[in-house]
Amino acid sequence: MRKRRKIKSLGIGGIIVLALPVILVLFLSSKPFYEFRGSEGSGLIVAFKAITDKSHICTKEEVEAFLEVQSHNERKHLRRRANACGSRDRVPLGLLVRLDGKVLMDRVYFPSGLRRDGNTFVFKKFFVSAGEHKLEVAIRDTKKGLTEYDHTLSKTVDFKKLKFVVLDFDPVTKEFRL
Amino acid sequence: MAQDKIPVVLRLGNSVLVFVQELLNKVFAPSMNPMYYLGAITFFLFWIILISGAYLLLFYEINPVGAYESIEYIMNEQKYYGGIMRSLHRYASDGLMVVVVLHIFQTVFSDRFRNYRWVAWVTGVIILILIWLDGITGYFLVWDMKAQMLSKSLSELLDALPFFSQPISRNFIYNTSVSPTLFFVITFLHITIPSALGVMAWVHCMRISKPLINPPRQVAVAIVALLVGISLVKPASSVAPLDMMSMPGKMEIDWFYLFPFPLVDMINIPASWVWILLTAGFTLFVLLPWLIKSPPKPPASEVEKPHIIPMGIPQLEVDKCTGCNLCLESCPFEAINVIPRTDSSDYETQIEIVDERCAQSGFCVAACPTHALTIGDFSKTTFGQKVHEIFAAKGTGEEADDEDRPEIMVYFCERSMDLSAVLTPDLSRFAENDAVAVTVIPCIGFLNIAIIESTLESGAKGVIGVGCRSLDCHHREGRCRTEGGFSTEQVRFPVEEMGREDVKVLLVSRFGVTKLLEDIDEFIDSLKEES
Repeated sequence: MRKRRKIKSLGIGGIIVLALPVILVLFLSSKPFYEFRGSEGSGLIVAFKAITDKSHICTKEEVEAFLEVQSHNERKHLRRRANACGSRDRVPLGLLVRLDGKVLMDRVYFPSGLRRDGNTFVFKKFFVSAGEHKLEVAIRDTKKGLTEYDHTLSKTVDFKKLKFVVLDFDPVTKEFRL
Repeated sequence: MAQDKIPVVLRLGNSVLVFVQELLNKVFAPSMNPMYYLGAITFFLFWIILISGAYLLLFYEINPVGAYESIEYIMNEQKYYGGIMRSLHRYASDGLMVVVVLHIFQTVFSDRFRNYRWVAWVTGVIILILIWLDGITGYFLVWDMKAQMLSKSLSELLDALPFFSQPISRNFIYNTSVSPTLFFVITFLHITIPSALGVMAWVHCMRISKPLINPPRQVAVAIVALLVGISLVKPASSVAPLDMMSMPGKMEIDWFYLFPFPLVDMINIPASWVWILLTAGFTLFVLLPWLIKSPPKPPASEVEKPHIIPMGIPQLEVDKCTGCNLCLESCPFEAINVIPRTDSSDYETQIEIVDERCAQSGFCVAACPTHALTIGDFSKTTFGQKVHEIFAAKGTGEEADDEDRPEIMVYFCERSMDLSAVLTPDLSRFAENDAVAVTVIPCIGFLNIAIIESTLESGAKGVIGVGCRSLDCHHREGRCRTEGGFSTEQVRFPVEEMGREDVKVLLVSRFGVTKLLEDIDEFIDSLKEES
């Protein structure tokens, strides 16, 4: 008859020792709580896509001269169209955001793409105190001076506690959305 | 001795590690001490996570609209099955992190990550990162406010990289911004990362022969019982459903996986700096085996002391090799390959040593029946002569008179403990008892019947082998060799089964110097009684 091998047990001490990391898991899997920054207030997210003007837009005469040159290209399939006249790169976007008169951001965003000819994307997050604040936004998307802007917004906004307010800008209609 | 070659920082950590292991050896039997099975417990927890995850996937809805509700259904409608499975999945994942981190500390402080073990170290670092990635993709899938915090924080970090033409954060502004496709991609990642983990685990163990991948049954049962217990006591729960327009505020954090995000929030440094620090940290971590240097070892041939058998990469005398493969079976680190014959011998194959994998344990030298392998000028052929020289010499190297000859030879594994305080300055005899000579060997597994018989024939009245307990062995399997733990009869070195009263094997703990000296005295007394 085969002899049954006696199975050793862990013992109470072994189980207690094994329980220690398990208790650590139980505790640290949900505690301590962490309070993220801005927990006492609200948040403002400035996020939108903009299509700025090209840095050089051809005049009517320049377009005609451009098309005249293209018409002499023997390779017809390589003849460029009128909208290819001028530069490919686009002007940088200027963005100014003020809250209750205090400047939150005043910076320039460059268009995407290796030749700076793509869309311009903006994303910035701010922590603000909850309550009503006067929000002023100005955007420059054409070739202008650094203190000149094409689109502005001035509005009193109610920032609710622990909620984000998102500032959007429609690139087609050129309108702000909150 | 080996301890002298280990950098100070590792030596200190090693002392703490050994102390903890010794403490746990008093609570558990050494064969069940979980500290010796951390890698195996990692595998075991991985299976628990895999099985519980497969169950959850059956009921999970892979879209932003239904994800949260499906998890709530699993928790509330299926309380005794789904709730346990989800909690098991969560807690086993957290436990996995604990065990992996302990395994890393143990590997570093037992100096098992450098030189020939670098592949295991590098793959181990990759495994750690994959585990973390799988954990955070898992938190995405719950689609609660933790997922919101995760998605916003991670996307803001990614936006600092120059790879993307538009900010990824724009995808996480509104609840409707998140595409179901993105959700599907994250689910796909969460399910396929374990496959990558499986591959990495295979590479991780590739250079180890017979790796331990299963913990002792009692330990495994206890782990499952404890995890099920805490799953019943405090089931895992979700926080509030995701709302991209809300701020995270004060929330519960799983500190095993989500700790980087509160950390970044606390430190409040630019995201680019986070990446710089992460990259630097990761690079240092991966390159650790090459950054911590040992003092250079003299080559085996330059070691003058005859009683220290140096470590070294074995050299093969091809004409003596019969291709029997006993050395290959004895190697714990897959450092021996079988290749076609390079001479005109009638045997079909021979072996070659892979230098970069060689642990210099000497097991293959001891296993070879034809004495084809040597370390320096030590081989089984010359060993008898060396033993005679050791036994005939005083500590000064001069020839000893009859009354000066030692009576007992202790073959002492250089990694088992630090005996420098109790030996003569030249480390050849015990200071308190110069009748006991010492020869330092690379590992207890180097000791075999031929060496013992040579020693006894040279005039020794007794032989003691001192080594580490089985799972403490730096070369993994030193103890097994003295026990004859191999399946092939010819590689059994059953020293203990010699049945001789004048031969003894002592397996010691690092702090057991006093006990060792007592055991040696007891052995000498027993020999005197016999005679």
